[in-house]
Parts: sequence; C-alpha cells; structure tokens
Amino acid sequence: MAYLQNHPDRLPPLRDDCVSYEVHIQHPESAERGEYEVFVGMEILRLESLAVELSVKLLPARQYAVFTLSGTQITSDWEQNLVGEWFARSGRRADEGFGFERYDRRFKGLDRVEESEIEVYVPLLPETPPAPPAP
Amino acid sequence: MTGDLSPILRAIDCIERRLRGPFRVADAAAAAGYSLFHFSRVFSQTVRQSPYEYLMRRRLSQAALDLLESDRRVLDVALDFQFDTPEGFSRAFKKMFGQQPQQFRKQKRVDPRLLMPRLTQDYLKYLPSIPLAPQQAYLEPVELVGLMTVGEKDANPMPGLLEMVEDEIRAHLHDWETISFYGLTLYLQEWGCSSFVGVPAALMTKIPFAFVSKTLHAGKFACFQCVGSEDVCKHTLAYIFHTWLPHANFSPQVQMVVQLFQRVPFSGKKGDTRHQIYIPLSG
Repeated sequence: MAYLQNHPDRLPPLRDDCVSYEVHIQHPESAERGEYEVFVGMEILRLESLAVELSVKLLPARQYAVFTLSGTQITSDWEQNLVGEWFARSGRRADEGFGFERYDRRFKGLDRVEESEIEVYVPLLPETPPAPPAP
Repeated sequence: MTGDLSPILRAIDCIERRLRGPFRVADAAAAAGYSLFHFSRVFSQTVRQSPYEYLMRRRLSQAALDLLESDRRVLDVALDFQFDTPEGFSRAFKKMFGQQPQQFRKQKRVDPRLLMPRLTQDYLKYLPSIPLAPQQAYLEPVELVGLMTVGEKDANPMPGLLEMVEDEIRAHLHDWETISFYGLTLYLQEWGCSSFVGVPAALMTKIPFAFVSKTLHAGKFACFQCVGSEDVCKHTLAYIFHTWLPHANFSPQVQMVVQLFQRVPFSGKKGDTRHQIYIPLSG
C-alpha cells in the first residue's frame, strides 16, 4: 500500500479509493512450510493498461461467510475464536485455499484500532447434501 | 575467440587477488604469460572488457557489497579499493550503479543484476555466441496472466516460475508446448526485484486463481536471442548488464527486462529453450 500511496500517478481508476483488500492465499506447496502469499490491493474499474509494476488478482464470485470485526477483535485471535466457532456451529466448511480482509472507511488505522471495523471474507465450500436414509 | 582460456583465467585470478591492493596491468599480463600489448588485446577480445575495466567493475561491485554489509565509512571503503579520492570513487560508483555511494548506503538495497561477479570459464566459453550488438524490436502491447514472485529469496526464480506456469496451463491449453511464455523482471527501489512468468490472457479460457494479470505496454526494445539451457540465458543477461549496457552508454538502472521463452522440441536436450531478451529503449 505504501507504494500506491507514494505513486498515485501509477494508480488506475479505482471503484472506491477508501477500500482496500488483503488477500491471503495458501498454495499446497507453501502450506507444508507454513507459509502463505499475501496480496494487497484495491478494486479497479478495468483490467487493461495497468502500470507494469502492478499486478491484478481476480477474486472469484462465490459464496463467502462475512465476519465484521470491531475494535480489539481486529488484533485478537479472531480466526480461532470468531470464525472457528461459527464454522463449528454452522456445519459449513471453509475453502482454506484463500481468504481476504476488506478495509473501508470504518478502518481508522492500527493506532485507532478501538474505533475501527473491518470485514473478513471466508470462502465457503458447497454444502454437502445430507446422506440418504439408510434402507 | 575460442582458444585456450587458461592464460586469461590466470590473469583474472591475478586481478581478483588485487581488488583491494595495488595493481598493474603488467602483473596480469605476466600471470597470463603474455607481453603487455598482446595481453591487453587478447583479454579485451576474450572478455569484451579491457583489463582495467574488468578491475574497476569488480572493485566497485565488491565495494558496493562492503557498503551494504559493513558500517565502514564510504571514504574507508574507497581507500580499501585503491581509489585515491572520494570524488573519484563517487563518480565511478555513480556510473556503475546510477547513484552516489552515500545514497546507495541509505537505501540499503542493490539491484543484484548490476553487481559483476568474478567471470567464470563457463561464461567466457559462451561469450563468443552472444552477438556484439542486439537487434532492435518492437513489442505489441499484451495483457498477460501468470505467476509472480517478489524479493531476492531465490536468485533466479524464472525457471521455477516457468515450470509452475507450464503445469497450470496444461489443463487449459491443448497446444501449450508451442506457445511463447513471457517473463518480466522488474526492479524497483521500494521493493527490489520481482519476477513474473505468464502467457497472453487471450489464450486462456479460464484463469487459475493463483495467477495474476499484468499489462506489458508496447515499446521499442533491444533484443538478444539465445538457445539452450537456463545457464545460457544467465550468461546473456550477464553480458547485457556488465558489458553491453555500459558500452552502449545506457543508464545502468534498467527497471524492466522482458524475456520470451519457447521450449525447443526435439533438441535432444531436456529443458532447451529459445530465449529472447528485451531491454527497453527509452525515449
């Protein structure tokens, strides 16, 4: 994000210049090493003719569980407490290949985290149909 | 120039031993077993740099590493590498790296492509195959999709990225073996090197989630071609950065290098690839 802030001339037209995304992607090979890829960006209005140093990641249209984190929840172990508990209760399963956080005007910065809110998007795997009754 | 390289390699040994000490070209000539005149001519033909230029580029490369890795004063580093004055050191340093030593040290980052390593026998054997001057080429704009990596964790991530992209697109393209892959290497002061390997987006019916998109803008380029293993490409890039760019009076700060790779079928050697390396011609 620092690069984009320092080089506003390199930015393409944005859908909303107050919204940014932090995408965490786990590849099978890197998962074994406990590593993941982080992609930070903003939503753009067109894919073409970007400055060559910028890359575009397409977030797939699909069903997500969306969690709103408020105040100190943002810096807490929300993955375990909030998200983990919801999945345990709902019976749904998360696609662990990726997930992202969405920051908008409600996020005031890490120095004002008590006044901030962010959204966490966790992609859902399709619901498995209930098993047929035993004959 | 494909004769016995051992006299030149002995001369290179001699230069390498004297990076931090007094040096006379006559010492290297003696190490090679040649007269001074004959040595200078053979060295320049074989290495495509004069002995003095080789010495300077090696001294400055080592000095740059010292500036990054130690807290010695710039003046002391200059004296270590036999520069008589800080001004002379700054001038030579700026010519090679595009910035003053003080500025370089503040940024704590070097474009690794600008640091000239000790030249090897492999490189010198390959050098005669590299054309002295490139062809000029125009590249059309293209939207690309592929994989990228950022940082200097892996000195040369291109071969690994190429294999991963090939694996991904096999599922999406029938004639993937005949297409050209684009490789982009970008160097930005803010985050260092990033590498990308991809294919034109128009070829793909579905873009794998791991892929990112990039735009390659149209432009004029200097194009070097080579065929062979990854080492061949590495040697060509070394020639471009350490010899051709300085001799052509281009700025050493090349932000982007474009490569086109095409696998060579039936070459008899696994992994043989046709490489085209494009250096942007600005202005």
